[in-house]
Amino acid sequence: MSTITLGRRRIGVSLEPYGSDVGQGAARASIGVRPESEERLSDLSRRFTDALRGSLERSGFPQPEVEVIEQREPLRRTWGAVVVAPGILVRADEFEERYGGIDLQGLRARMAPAVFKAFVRHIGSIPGRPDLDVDEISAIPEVR
Amino acid sequence: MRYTAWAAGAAIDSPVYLDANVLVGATVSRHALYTNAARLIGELLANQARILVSLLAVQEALWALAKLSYCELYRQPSKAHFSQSLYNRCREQIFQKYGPRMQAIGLMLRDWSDAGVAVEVVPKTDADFLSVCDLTPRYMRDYKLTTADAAHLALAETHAASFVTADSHFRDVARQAPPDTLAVVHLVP
Repeated sequence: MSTITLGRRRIGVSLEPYGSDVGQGAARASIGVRPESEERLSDLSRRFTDALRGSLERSGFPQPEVEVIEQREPLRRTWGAVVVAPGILVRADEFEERYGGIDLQGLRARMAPAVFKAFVRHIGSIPGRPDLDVDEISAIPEVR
Repeated sequence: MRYTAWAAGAAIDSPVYLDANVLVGATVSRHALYTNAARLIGELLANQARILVSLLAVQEALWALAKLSYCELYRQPSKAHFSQSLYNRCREQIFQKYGPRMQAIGLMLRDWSDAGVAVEVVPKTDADFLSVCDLTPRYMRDYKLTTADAAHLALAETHAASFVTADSHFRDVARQAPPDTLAVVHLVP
């Protein structure tokens, strides 16, 4: 299988031995375009993929129905950073520190988008330290 | 009063009064309670709980952020002594270097409110205020609490179904207190 990459589309070209022609150096080419998830695709790239798949179909390369996985991909990684919510981008190490161990996808499914954004924007936004006792540090000496 | 040590997934009755240490616990990372504090806040927001806060809790949270900043500025351990006079001496440097973080709690509450979360400030009415004034000294005496802890408990008792705190003193208070509807939800690692 050879792979041609066009932007974010992957087109696989497979050269397989063709039935009785085995041994004669003949091969059949199959070409496939794998659809990407809805969130990953811009309208333009989706139309490009559809056009390419249609063109291949008409040229005699049947395109199998491929199940599109990751219909909801909430956390997109961009050059080592993670998009936690629209407009909220954190470094990968910061992501682990602030959101590691928290079921963000589960919470996102149960929150309105604005609430989820407000939630992820603020939790762990200030770097603390392992020796921090949040109860002790919140006590105002002359008052509490 | 009922006591529960909170574990992920456990239900918390609404409305919920948040102690200062919970506000700080969820905003500051890397400490032992952080992950559970963030999970707990996530559960409250996902369950559309009514969240009750007080000026006292915000004041204490600001103090905590000032102390954390002081410890970082002067490379002190978190348990280092920090007093009002030390704060007065270091205030300018704290705000110079860490000014934006001092807005963090207020911004968080504002963002929650703007996003549609039911954030309410207590006491709500004059009658509520007078109830808190009445209960606070009683709790100071009966449960041997500091003024702030007694006021937090009185605020929770007057307005909330649940009082979420990281302060382990309230476990003993819940044991001594007569049974009623308030649940003390203890944030533990």
